[in-house]
Amino acid sequence: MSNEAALEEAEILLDSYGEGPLLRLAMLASPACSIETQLVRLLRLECVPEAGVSVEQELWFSDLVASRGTTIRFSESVSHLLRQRLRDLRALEPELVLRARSIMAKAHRHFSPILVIEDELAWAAVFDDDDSIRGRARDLLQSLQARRDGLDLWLGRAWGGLPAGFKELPEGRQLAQVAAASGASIEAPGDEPQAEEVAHLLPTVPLLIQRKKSTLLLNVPPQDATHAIDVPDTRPRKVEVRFEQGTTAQSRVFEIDEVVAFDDIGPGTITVTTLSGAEFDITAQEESTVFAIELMPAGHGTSALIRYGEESRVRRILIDCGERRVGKHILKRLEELPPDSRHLELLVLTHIDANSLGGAIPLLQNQKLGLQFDDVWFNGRQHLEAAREEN
Amino acid sequence: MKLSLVGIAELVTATEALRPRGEAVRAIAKMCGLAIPSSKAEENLKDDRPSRLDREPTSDDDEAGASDAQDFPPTVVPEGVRRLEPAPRSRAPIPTQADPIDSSAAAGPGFEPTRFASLLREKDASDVLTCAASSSMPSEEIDIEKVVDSLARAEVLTSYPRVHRPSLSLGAQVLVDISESMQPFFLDQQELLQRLQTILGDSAAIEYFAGDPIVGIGPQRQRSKWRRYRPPLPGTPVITLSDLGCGFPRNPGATSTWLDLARRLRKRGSRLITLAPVNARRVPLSLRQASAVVVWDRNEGRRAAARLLRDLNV
Repeated sequence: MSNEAALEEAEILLDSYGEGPLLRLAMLASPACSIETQLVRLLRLECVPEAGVSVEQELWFSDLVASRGTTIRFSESVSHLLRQRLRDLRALEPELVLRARSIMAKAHRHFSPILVIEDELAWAAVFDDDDSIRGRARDLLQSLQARRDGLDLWLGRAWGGLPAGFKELPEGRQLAQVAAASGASIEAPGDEPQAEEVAHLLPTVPLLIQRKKSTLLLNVPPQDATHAIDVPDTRPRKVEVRFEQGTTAQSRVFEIDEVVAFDDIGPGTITVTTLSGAEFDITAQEESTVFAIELMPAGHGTSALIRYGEESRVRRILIDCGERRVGKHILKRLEELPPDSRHLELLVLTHIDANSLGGAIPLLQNQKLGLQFDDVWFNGRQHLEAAREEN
Repeated sequence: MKLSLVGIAELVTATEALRPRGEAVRAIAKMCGLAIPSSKAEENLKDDRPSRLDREPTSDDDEAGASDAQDFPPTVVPEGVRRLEPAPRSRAPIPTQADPIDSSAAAGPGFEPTRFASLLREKDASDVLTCAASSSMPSEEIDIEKVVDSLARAEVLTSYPRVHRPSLSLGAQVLVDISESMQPFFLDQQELLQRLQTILGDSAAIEYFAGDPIVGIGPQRQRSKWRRYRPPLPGTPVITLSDLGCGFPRNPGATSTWLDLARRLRKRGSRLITLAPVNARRVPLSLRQASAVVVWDRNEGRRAAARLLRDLNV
């Protein structure tokens, strides 16, 4: 469900509860990182005294609640709208909202400091206190750089509920990278990720590169890779590529979610710089030869894909295809080959047996794959007769 | 040429079965009439999985084989691909800073946990529970009014009538509802049970149930050890901590169960008193008439205690 649709649905849900004590209680509790029974009790007795005890249970089991255990949690969209309404309530009844804030601070003062900050950020947004939000964003970023345990996991968990004003700050955009790496879904991060200060703290992922005499390809499939570098797992992943073209030094920044290709860039050293500032020098390798035997799933039989020859012109031989039930796996593997590599030099079926031939049947029946063989060796009658004549 | 290809098939079979390394690969290839030209080939033949000879074939073999196909974008660097190290001139990572967020404030020395906000005020809770756990019992004191009345009617007194007073001597059966709807009141139940134990000591027979006590009760929360409901000794009050199915979500079938239980207990001279964390208007009138329902909330305590005492007729 899109954000807008979720908000619309939450709006309808909130309206269905009217303006009674339940919604009032929910609003006052909404900035809490964790809503426990005691907080609900204190807020009811102190801030919604007209409500009877039933409202506690009604809130606990209401549709506003997305998860309940020893504490309850509102869904992100419900929480967002409740806090918006709480801002409106603050304009009308500032003392009441201040009392609720103070009750929550007291009830949660035994929480870990990060959770206390989570509450404070939500309240700061309710009170339009941008200075507090900015200060807390700086603290969190600095704390992250100090490698505070669990802060990254907290960011991943709490990100959705943090105030929009926090996320839009430069510090917030840096922290968004860590949140995303911890599993949070971050809103459109913009074209320029702010990650310079946190990139070195993020997990890295390999970026596979193919470097040949005059070409450079980034983010290539494993079978085409010649080099690998580690890049921080930012959203989006970006690198800067520097190279000489003719006599001119070139520098370009790329998102590497797709294959990036450079042609005619000469054999010189190319430098790739990651967002963490790590620089990698990549030089073209001499064209080398390939000889690889890839054993494929074959049940009780055997199936092998052999690659050999020069890297720029690899030849392929398929030997046996295992049992029929594994044909789909072999098919899948061959589908991974680029279309122009599906022209195989040879198919060898070593003997007449279900565990050699079975898997070949779905393979040869498949028209879509565009598989071609220059020759097929198969010890059928005509082959055996030909062999006998030769001997 | 044909001989070479037969050799390849043999080599494939041999490498699959034996998982050779290094020179052994080259030796086997030679036996098969093949020559491996570069050390790269050796790299490509590397495989850390155990040999098939070392394990029983399983039905998962082909599935595992399928997942061997590498991910794209990759999460691991494939064998044979050169992994580069950053150049020494790379920007140094930002040095570790001092953590500005103070951890010592939470639960540090001098920290006082927030006082539990119970549904009843301390004084009210004791009064309500004492009244609820009381039964009307003859005391040592002779009921002079009754004696005078009997003598005035020229009746023979075979024994002295005694004044009835509230007494805790019979103890109480305490039924604690642990159904899901009572989850928000778990701590309140715990607090009240502690108070009851203080008031009644061992004569508080605490039993747990979920929604319907007739179906099963037990002295532990573990439902597997629960048994069918057995009423207490005649006259012993039964105190229930439950929403009687009248809370959120409502259980409409529960009312008849509670009415039945109240009737059964009344026949045995026992009172059924329920502390229900629900607004009074949610409890059906029939249930309020058949048993004593105390709204378990702040403003109800004092009134409830007085009513319970009045009901004892002492």
